[in-house]
Amino acid sequence: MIRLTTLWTPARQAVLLIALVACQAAAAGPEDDRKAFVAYFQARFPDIPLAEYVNGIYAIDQDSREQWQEIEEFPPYEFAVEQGAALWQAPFADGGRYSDCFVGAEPGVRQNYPRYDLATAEVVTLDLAINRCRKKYGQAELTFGGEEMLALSAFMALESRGNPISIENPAGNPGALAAYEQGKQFYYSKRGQLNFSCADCHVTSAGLYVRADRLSASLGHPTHFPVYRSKLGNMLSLHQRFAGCIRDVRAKPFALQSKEYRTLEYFLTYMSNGLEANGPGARK
Amino acid sequence: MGLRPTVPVLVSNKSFSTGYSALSVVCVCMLLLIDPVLATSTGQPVCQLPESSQGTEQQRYEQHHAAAEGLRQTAAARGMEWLATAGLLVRAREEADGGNWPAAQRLVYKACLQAEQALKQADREASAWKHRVVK
Repeated sequence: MIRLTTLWTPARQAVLLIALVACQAAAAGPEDDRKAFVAYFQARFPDIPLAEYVNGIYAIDQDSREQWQEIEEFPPYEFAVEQGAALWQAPFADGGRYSDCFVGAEPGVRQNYPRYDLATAEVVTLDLAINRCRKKYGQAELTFGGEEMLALSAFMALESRGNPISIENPAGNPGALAAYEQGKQFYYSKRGQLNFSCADCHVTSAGLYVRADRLSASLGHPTHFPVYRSKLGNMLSLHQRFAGCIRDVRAKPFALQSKEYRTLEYFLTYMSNGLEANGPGARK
Repeated sequence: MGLRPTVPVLVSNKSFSTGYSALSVVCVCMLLLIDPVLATSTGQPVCQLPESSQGTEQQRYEQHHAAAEGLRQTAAARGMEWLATAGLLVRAREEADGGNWPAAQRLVYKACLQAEQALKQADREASAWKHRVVK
């Protein structure tokens, strides 16, 4: 008869422990990542309700929040939204419409983007979907970050307000999971001459000051774009914000809607799953 | 052997003493990160440009420019190019066109060092990012 004590030696215990940890690491998928991400910020800022993270830095910085609330009384993005509504309703030359390209023929679909497109095996953002629609109906594609694209996405964001972000779990498809992992790697990788990762500022240093401004938390970041930036005097897309951050750490930015930014948006938006879409926003 | 431009030694490892505050050390480290020429003067790794005493100044410059540009393109292909590298090479070309070879070589050297450090960063981050994932 084999005695239990002979099986349960310290060496075997160590091997079992390592195997257990390895199995857990391998099993850690997007949903585990999201739960850990949310838990981190809830532990870091225990007084901030989860739903408040959609307001970016204004969830954390109470002084700036009061100014922001005053700005929101006369939203500076209103003109962009009106322009976007007109663009949405105008038929294309061949009679097609934007509504023909989106589920339910409704503009309020921001919460479902980005999504992994099985047919093309790539991450499709809302901006990319808008241009795909135009291409389908023989229209020239809009410039990413251009006035018309920002206006359309601002209108669609407004129509999506209150809908919970609903990105499908990438774990269900190997291609989607690979794209998610690329975005995750980008997010956590240090880059540029200043050797900073996205997480260095928006996870580790969230709430701390950089010069006179406080750093926002990544949780909820994608819910409120596009935003009107007061300092620029115009609308700004999420990818333009990415490019700004990349430039700030002295790395060369990527093109808007590049694979790098689309996978980053995919990862970041999945982290905010369940939070309400509340774009467009107003920022300093 | 790498090219070492003649620069005044502004900072030296020997200048540190126990009397210096931790803040000073941090400041100097940040300066070294930002300015590759300062880094060189403190014995940090130098950019490996092809060494040659043959040919004219222009030929040597072209050789160094091509080497630095090659490193920049490699860093770009890995998605890790630094912001200023391409601009340094453009400025180097402008100085070379004006016949100012020392200035042109100095700029090429800075670009080369930036590209080299970007590639080291890419190598490091290929696995280091995993340790930062929120768990």
